[in-house]
Amino acid sequence: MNMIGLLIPLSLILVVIAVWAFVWAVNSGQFDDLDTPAWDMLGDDEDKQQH
Amino acid sequence: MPEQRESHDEDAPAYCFHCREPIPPGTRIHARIRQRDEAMCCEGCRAVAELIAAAGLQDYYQYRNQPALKPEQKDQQDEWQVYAQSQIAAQYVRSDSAALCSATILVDGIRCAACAWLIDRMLRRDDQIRNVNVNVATARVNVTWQGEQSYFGSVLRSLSKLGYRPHAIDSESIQQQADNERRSMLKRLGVAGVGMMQVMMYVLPMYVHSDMDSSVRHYLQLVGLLLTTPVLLYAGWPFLESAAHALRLRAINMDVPVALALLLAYGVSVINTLLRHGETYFDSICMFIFLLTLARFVVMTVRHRSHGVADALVRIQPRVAHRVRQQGVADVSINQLEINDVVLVRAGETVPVDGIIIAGCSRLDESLLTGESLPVERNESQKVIAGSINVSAPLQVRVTGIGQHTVLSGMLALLEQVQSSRPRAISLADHISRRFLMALLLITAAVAATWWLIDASRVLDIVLAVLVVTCPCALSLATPAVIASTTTALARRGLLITHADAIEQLAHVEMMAFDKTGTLTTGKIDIADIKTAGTLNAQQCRDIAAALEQAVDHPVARALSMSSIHLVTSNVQITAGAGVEGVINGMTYRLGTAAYVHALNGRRTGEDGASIWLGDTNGVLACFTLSDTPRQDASTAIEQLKALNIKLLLLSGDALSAVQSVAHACGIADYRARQSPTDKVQTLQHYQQHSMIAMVGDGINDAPVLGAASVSIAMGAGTAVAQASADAVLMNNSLQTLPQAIKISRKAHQIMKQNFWWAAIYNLGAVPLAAMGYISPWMAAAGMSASSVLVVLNAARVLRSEPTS
Repeated sequence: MNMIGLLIPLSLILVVIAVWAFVWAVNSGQFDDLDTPAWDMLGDDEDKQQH
Repeated sequence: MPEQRESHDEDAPAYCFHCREPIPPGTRIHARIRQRDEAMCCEGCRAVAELIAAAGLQDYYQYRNQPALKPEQKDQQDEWQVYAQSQIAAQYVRSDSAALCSATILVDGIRCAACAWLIDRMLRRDDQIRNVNVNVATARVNVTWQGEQSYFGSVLRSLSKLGYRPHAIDSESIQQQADNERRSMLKRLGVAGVGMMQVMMYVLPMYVHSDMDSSVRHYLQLVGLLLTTPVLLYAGWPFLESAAHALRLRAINMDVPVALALLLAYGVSVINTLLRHGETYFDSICMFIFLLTLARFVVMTVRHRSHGVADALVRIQPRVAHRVRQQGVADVSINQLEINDVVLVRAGETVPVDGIIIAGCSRLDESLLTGESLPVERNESQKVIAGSINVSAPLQVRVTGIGQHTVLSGMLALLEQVQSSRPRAISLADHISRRFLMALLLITAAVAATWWLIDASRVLDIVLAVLVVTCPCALSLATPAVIASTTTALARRGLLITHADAIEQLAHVEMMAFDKTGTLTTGKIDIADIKTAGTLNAQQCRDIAAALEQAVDHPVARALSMSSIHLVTSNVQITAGAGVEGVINGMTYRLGTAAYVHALNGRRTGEDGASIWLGDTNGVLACFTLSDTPRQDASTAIEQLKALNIKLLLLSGDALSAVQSVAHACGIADYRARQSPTDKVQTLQHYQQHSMIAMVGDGINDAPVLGAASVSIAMGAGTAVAQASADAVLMNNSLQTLPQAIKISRKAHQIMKQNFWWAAIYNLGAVPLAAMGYISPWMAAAGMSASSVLVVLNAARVLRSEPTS
């Protein structure tokens, strides 16, 4: 009982942090475009060679 | 969508490497890409391809899964220069701090992620550009740069050089609204998901250890309550709100039973937690909310694909006009124009306003507005409409209508008006939820009455257990799951659904109405028939005509010059509005209207306005009948639709003879010609009294009738206005997709029905057990998950439906 008395509030704090982080990510537009970022790494190597 | 690798085979050279369109015979244009000469269909494609290759971005061709937009060929002066003027650029550019400017641009032609990659790389090559953000879903590019606002013009020019069509946009309210909706839905989904996982974790020990110490049990229940409350009030709020709204209107929608189940389960759990006896259902509540939000999220994503009428207007109406004053010609934004101003419309430009021609004479392509396939001749003191394209010569136009008072805006007003009054098949979900709620209330009443007679003290407990067990989870997932999988299945075949209920409507369609120009036909003018009257055969006449038309910038000329030219023309004389005269091999020929050709040889025959005549000094040689030809797959598609018991109708704004020939060629018995947009709506509404009609169209003049039809499909190559007013867009422009789409939607409708049956059987089967007090909370939770999974798996069967060709 003592153990879960401590661990469960801890897990609740983690949940609050996780939700806060997710809400922050959504609000800052991280999920607005899910197609383009997959292509961002293409061509980076060529850039290095050119410069 | 399956990745379509670019073919490098020598045996398929008939398609342009860049835009994948067929290469006209006789074209010899190549671009050097990756040390290979690739065939191109036009100079426009070559310029874009070479630009991409020179920048070292050839990877684009490897990674794209959609062909590129065919670049427009414009020989006029730089149209982007006006956006470099500070007072015009200021309307579109936001000046941020630290000398940074940013602008959002709507870009036509962004078709896949490779386009986004290409645009990003290309723009960033310029040192002034600080940030580029390309959104494929909304076709928007957000650019931030250092320096003057006037750099905006260069950004637009770079995009246009890449083969895209950029449009400056000044207001983003609708897109912003969609973005906000998506973000708020995502947040609710996240909260529900995290809440669901946590509550499950706290509840599981209670399920596995039935002999748990009662104080631990109470503690876990309190934690569950603590987590479920925000999930219900935040993530579940839209359902509660919508149910309350429906009840206030004395209506019942799917959300009413959902909200009832949520509130009851929550209420019972709270009471039982506080009284320290009985079961709690916190895990079921969270899971129910999560699954429902997920389903709604999918449906919302489908809805957001439609970009709306506002975006469509940006695409057709030019933002800038050339105003003529005594001081000379100045470029102004169309917002600054007033009635009776005079504007100059150069050849190749789109008319920005409604007006009357005061100087000049030209051909105007009004096909998008009226459905007329051939450009019409307009002289002084005749009217021009905003949105039509000036084909041949510059015009001076006195403004008579701007903004809300143009014919174009009137058409959109008509669209909005008819859209609200269209008849739709009642959605299956709404239909079922009404019956479900009735059945639920009746059963609960019966159970309560029975237990009242047996043991009055247990009535409340048992009634609540029944209500919680009948939680309509599978029921409320039945439609959205099928819509999600059907949308994917149709998208794979080239039909993009933008209104989720279109799938159910398509399944009920009894009649399909088509527009002619651009829908059943390709919209490109072609020679339909050559009648020879002299000594030369058809091919010789064609060659002479092609050689003569070479000198003329005329849309008809393009149809004729598709054949290769090997004759040399000299002494070319062009008479505006009549035709062209030239000398070939010492013979003088004339090509043009009947009167013009007959004037050369002094003879007269019967005149025909729609034809082009060829003659020499001795008489008439040939008569060319021009028309736009039906799409190759039109008659097959019509045949297949007939096999599906669908009646057909052809509605066109074009002349009777043209409509008649297309109707005969495609096998449509019922056709109407010379229909104005209002006529089309009336004809459709007349038929719609008896049957469900699907309308297929492409032009701006089709927009109102698309809006009025029970379900509407716009061609992918059609205008943005038509696409905005339609429920679905035929991206591959292949009419054969239509019968397939009907088949798939009929199947989808069937699967929806199966899902409802399953959900109903599950719920009705669980009720007696609950009524007798046999169902424990973990069984309720497991049963709910299992029935939901089954519904989702059944929905996925649509994806596997065989492609029929």
